[in-house]
Amino acid sequence: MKVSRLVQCIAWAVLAFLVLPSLLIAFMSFGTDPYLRFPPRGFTFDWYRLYFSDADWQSATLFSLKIAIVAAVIAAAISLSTAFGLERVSNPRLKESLRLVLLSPTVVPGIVSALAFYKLFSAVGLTGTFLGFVVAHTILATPFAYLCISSQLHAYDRTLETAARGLGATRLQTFIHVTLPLLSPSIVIGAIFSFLVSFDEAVVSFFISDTQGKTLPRKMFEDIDFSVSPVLAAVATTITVGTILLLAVITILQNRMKRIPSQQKE
Amino acid sequence: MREQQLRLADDRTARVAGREMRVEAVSKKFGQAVAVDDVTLGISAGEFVSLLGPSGSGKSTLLMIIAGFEQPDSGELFLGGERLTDIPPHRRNFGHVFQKYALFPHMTAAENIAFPLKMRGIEKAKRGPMVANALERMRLSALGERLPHQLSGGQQQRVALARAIVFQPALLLMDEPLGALDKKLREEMQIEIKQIQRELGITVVFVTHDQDEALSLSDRVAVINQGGLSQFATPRELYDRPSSRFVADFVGDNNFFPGQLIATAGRKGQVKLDGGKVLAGQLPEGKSIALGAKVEIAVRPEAVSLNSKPDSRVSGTLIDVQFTGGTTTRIVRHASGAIYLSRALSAGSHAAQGDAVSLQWDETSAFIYPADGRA
Repeated sequence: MKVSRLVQCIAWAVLAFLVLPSLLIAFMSFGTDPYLRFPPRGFTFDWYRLYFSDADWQSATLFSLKIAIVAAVIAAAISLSTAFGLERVSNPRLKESLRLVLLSPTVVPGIVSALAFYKLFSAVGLTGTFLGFVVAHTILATPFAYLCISSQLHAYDRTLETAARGLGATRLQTFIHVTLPLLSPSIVIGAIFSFLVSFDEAVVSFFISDTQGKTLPRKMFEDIDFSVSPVLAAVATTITVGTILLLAVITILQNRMKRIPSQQKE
Repeated sequence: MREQQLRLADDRTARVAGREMRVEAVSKKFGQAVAVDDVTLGISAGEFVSLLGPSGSGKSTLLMIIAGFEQPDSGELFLGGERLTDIPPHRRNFGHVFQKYALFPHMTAAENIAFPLKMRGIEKAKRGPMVANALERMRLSALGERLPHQLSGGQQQRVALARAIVFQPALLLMDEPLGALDKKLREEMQIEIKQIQRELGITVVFVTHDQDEALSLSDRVAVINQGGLSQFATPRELYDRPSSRFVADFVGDNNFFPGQLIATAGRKGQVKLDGGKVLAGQLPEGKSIALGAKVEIAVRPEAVSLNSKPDSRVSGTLIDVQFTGGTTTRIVRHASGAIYLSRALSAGSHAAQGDAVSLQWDETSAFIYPADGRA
């Protein structure tokens, strides 16, 4: 198919528009001036060094990572069992309602959930705690993991499980040797998305953080208030690179899903 | 009635690996719909039995009950005298070949075949030679490391078969296993399946809606209709002595002449056709039909010959002559619009298209069935 030059130009312009801010930040993270400046002058890795050595930045980053990993694992586990459970609901209305409830965190405005979590968590003393963040982020991330897993489960041929049972596998063996390996790409993709949702999450985190327990986005917010140090740009660029790597993993997994069809040829 | 005599294991038992299987008075309902209706079947060890029926007849449900994936509402299953009804599917030790093979897409052909062995806790060192053996038997030795989607339909089918027999199952269950293959491949696989079944002496229950497949492969065929067992007999008996209108119609071609039973004498009956003519035929065994009941006379096309001079018998116009190699089929339209077939070795009648002809047959090849009877 031939694409006209105009369309090509527009496409590149849109791409540039989307990518440019991140690229600019990346540029600025290497400048020698002690404040964010464009165009940057000089070249240094100092801001990265600072980021990776500063105790506050480190504790916020580790806190965010731990939350994101735990939330991703829980979200994937909940999504897997929910996807299986909803498959078996025969009443289509009930099924759709349950799905909507599960997906509702994606349509509720962030600020609304943030307020809700804040009110609830401050009442039960969960603000600023690891558990509080995990609970909130799991709720926010589960819809994404669910969408990944349920779409593959939908295309997945359940007769493979019947076949495994018929060939002598117990239910548990069937799950371990057939179900899990076949669904694993979507489970991993779902977990990665959940991880990103949690790691990236700023609005709710802003509300439920306290002086002790704060996530990386919250720490970044605070720093913007005090200073506009290029270390922020270094942190942002590090996050961007990490995200790109994870998206590459997702792409590889998606290709594998296509290569090994979970359904038999018609 | 429809109940068949249990045929217990005969003298072949000692020599064969397969086991004898009994299905006793099994019924299954899904909501209000009766899927399997009081079916009793005795399958001998080493026997190849087909469950033949139109789609929706309940034959697949019956197979699922035998496999253990469905629980019967009532009735019992026995394998070699042991009660099987409550044993879960993975402990029945049956081989399965599913409609679309159901190969595990993330495992190679060899891994697929090793799967049932692995699930039985057979150690790796022993699995290797068993898998290699099964691959060789199915002429797949060069393809063991391929994934299912890298294999052709016929090869996938052979992997599925190897996987189902590698652990020497007590019974091999096959659910329309050849449905997805084209005609030529299907015929090759039929020969292959039959050969393996004979070599291993395995007991096979084979579900199909294809009567040619059922007749050519099976030692006995169970014809299933609306959940019930219509007839359980050898292919020959099924064709020559169908026990009901349904079987007569479903298995092979048949001509039906509707009428009313007006007289009986022993196994012979007189039927007054709707057109007023009176014809004789054989009454079904073990069944009595009331005088005056609506009946149909069934005559196989190959028992019908055509006479160019219309006479007192059923007559019509020859509308088409179809030459199909070994035989020629002549199609006759009756004044009522009904279509009748006459099939003969290529010589046959000399009547030409458009001629008025009458149909004749020997009354021993005419069978009387109650009209619309399910069984």
